[in-house]
Amino acid sequence: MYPHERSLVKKLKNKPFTLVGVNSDPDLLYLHERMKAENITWPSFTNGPYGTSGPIAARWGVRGWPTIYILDHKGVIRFKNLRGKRMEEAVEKLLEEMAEKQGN
Amino acid sequence: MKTTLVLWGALVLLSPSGLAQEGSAPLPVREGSKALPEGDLSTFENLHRQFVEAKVRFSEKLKQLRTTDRYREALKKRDMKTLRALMAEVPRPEKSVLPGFLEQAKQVEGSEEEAKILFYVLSNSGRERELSKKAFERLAARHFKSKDWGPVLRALPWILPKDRAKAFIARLAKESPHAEIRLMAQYVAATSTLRNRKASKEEKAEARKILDEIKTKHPDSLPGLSLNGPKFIQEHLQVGMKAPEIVGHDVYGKPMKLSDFAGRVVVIDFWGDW
Repeated sequence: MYPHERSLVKKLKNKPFTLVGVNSDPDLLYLHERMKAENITWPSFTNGPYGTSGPIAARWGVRGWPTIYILDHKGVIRFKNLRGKRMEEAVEKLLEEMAEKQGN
Repeated sequence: MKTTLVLWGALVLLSPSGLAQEGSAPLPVREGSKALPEGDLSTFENLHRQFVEAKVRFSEKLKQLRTTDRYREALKKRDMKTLRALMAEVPRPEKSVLPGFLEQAKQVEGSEEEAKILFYVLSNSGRERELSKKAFERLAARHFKSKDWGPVLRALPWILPKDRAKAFIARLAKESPHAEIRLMAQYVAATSTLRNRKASKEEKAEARKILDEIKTKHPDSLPGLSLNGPKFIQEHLQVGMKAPEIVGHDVYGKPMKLSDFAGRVVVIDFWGDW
């Protein structure tokens, strides 16, 4: 998953787009090392010491990883669980939509 | 410069209003703390860092191994015996580093620090079940009242004989001085009863009753959130709905909200490094 996310974030770095992670690793010190090694630069919430059963994932009913929600610039959920190429297409579509609206 | 690392001490506090911080209590972060002299760190912090460094070295060695011809050859042939032998040449940190932590823990016996080390060993010993057992026995003997049992409860049935795990979780459900731990233990006990084919109808009915109570009376507790997850998806997480706010901390301990990214296209990615 990382390579695709990395390239998406890099490609869209000058666009109004953010990849927001919700990370479920309980050992943050180790996670920091992993993030350095994998060059994960986007922001992530921590799901806390309970790991996968921590509060954000619990509230959002997350049972599988990764779980993906794609929101438009108004914060509306537009797509769920698209990955890879299809995630990228969805994001680009929403960015275009946003640009059109602002052009009007 | 002395800051206490509260990774395992960070209990999730959720207010009844449901608007509480979701990403656990303020986090244990000391960016760039590698520069600190070792003497500045507590015993637990030192060990924690040692283990993390060992894990980093381990994954680097594993990565190297995967590029060798011997490994590739064996993988191609699906030669499990050789693969296992090659893997054995790179000792896992659970095996090489973690056992020493139990010795170190003895030097701070009875203290909070000991509990932190033992909970860390328990959570990180992976397949080294003997190690987990030892850590558990010491915790059970001296740290029953700790507030940090929550994250390890689910692992106990894998570490201990089933009856022992069940009895211990039942005891926590009744006697822990922390409401969150009692609730979590009730939840873990009830869900495992429902999964247990040998449990009687009465036991299962009782377990369902407990879960229903948690769902309705404690909806903002961790187990309550989890039980209400499917309902939350139905009511708040469908395509076309405004995404609910998330209030928490980022992985470096800084407060963060989903609305910090308002006005931008956002991908929310629930992920883990595993």
